[in-house]
Amino acid sequence: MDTESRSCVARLLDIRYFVLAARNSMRHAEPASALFMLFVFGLIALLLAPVYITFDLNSTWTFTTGLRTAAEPAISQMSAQTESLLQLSVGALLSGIILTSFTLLPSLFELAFPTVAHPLLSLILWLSIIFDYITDWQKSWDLVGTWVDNPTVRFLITVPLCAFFSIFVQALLVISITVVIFAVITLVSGGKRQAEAVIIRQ
Amino acid sequence: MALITGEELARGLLIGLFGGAAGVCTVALPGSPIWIVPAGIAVGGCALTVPEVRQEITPYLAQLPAPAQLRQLPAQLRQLPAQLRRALPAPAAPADVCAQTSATGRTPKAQAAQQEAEPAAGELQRQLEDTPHRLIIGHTRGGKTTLIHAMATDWAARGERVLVGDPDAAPGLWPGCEVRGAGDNIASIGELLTIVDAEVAERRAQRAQGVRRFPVLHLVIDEAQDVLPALDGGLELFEDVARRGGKLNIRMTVGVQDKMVGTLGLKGKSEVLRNLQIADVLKGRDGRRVAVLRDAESGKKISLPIPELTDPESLITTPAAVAVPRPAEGVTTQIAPDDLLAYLLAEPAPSASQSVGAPATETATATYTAGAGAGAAGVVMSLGAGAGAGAPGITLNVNARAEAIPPGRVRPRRGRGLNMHRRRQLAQEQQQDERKAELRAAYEARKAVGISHRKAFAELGGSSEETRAWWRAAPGPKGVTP
Repeated sequence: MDTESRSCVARLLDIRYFVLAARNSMRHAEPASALFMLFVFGLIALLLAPVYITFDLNSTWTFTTGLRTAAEPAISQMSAQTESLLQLSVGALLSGIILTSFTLLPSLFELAFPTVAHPLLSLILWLSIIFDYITDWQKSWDLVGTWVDNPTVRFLITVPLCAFFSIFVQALLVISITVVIFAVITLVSGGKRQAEAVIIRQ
Repeated sequence: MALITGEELARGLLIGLFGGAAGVCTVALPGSPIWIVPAGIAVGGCALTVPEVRQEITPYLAQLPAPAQLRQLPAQLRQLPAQLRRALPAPAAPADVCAQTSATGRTPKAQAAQQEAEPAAGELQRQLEDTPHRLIIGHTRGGKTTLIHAMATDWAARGERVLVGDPDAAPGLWPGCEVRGAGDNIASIGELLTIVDAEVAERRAQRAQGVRRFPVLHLVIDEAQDVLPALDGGLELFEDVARRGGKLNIRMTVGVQDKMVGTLGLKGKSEVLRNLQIADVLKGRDGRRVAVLRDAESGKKISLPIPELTDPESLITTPAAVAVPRPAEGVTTQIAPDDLLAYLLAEPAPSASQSVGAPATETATATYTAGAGAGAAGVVMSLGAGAGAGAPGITLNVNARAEAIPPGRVRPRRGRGLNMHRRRQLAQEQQQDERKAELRAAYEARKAVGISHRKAFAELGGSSEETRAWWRAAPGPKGVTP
């Protein structure tokens, strides 16, 4: 889709666009600037990682644990059957991991395949984002509960806060990790100097 | 650029409100799956914000009953057992169907088809008017002229200038349009193109002076495969308007039977057709006519139904002067091939002073048919006025067939295809002759001033044998023929 024809908000929240831009800029960066970017974005990623782990990953894990506990008899039976069939005892663990990794689907997909766009894929990613939003609600709700008592105000504050933890932090972390990864690649491969050397050799 | 679109706002609100509601459900009712309900609403709402998904789902949503119908449903369900106790209700009587039909003039099925076609008609018009130029393709009787006619008369009704070149034009066929070409008069369509050519030149001159807005000018050419190649400069103007006419607000609509560049005389210039929105008029599986065209945004082929349009043939008016009277009771018919002209001259035609105010019944009416037997081509002549015709005089229909014209057929049928091919050949031959005549005159002029044939040939070219023949026949520098 043409980026110029979209709204300001859509362009601002287009993580794929930022990931691609980060890739392109880092691919042609000079080693010094690559090192600087590695340092800055590595610091941002380090600062965001605890927030992300606390409010997103842990929260999702807790939620899926709740689901797993609720479905424990069925999972135990499934696990027993799996154990008897495949000699594996990881059925219960796997179900939690699969559900948790589902929340990471948008981030992983944007990190790995930023150029891939499809209407149904967008739908699956939105599904994943909503699931992540719901699983992250508990921690944000508890946090807001320490500030206000009114349930309506608590709800109204939790809505954007949960969106911040669930979507914004994750998106920023994805961009930071992209920059870090490509900065490392640039430093390892010699960056722009190597490209210039190739041109001179030709 | 918009700050935020409606879809994005809806998506954000859905996630915020229904996602939040789902989150509250997980907190308030731990272990309960009730959170899935608001989560599902959020996901479904987000799905509807994706245009592709919405496009797929909308037709199904339209089939759902309206809220008013849903409110009536419980009452209908209550009435159902009572109805079941009785005999099965008789099927709708034909009279009911007729009543429904007569109210709107259409059957319920046709009404449904019409209701479905109405929004599509707007879409078809939007797609066709999206680009300055259109190429409407369709085989004979396929509906291409009907579609072009509907668009052209619509533009004319809007007050826009519409120039129509149609070799099949007839009186009243193109209301509000400037029409040329009736009766296969291709030369008159050439005049039309001259008008457009002059308009193009004038607008270009105005544009050079800084004028950027021009009143819209529509050029409509039907059966272009017969018209454009036969006209001197026709294809050049077509190409010019197709490539650069949009800036001058000159819009072209061309009807052809296929889009082969050879048919249009555009061999080696197929890229010109990229400037036109190409619509293929076809008959769908259900018998309805559809226009297959390429979507401007996605580039995919889309099929849009063509609504029921006015048949252009029904608009043709038949002036009384050219009406062929049919033999009626009291009308004497004589076969007089040799004496026809003599009789015509001998018979005193009623003068204006005699006929005005005279009762129609007092004027004798006679029809004379010349030809060898029934069905032969010849002359049909009417003298006087028929009862109630009110226009006394002589009506002469040359080349008419002697048999009675079946009712409903207004124009005699013609074999157009071969005629047009021959006409094109003749036009090309005529152009070649003109060029040769010019060349010959040039050779003669060179010889008159004493230039050698070799130098003249190097300068002017042409066929070696022909030019030598002309050279020999031309008078010498001193006016002496060698």
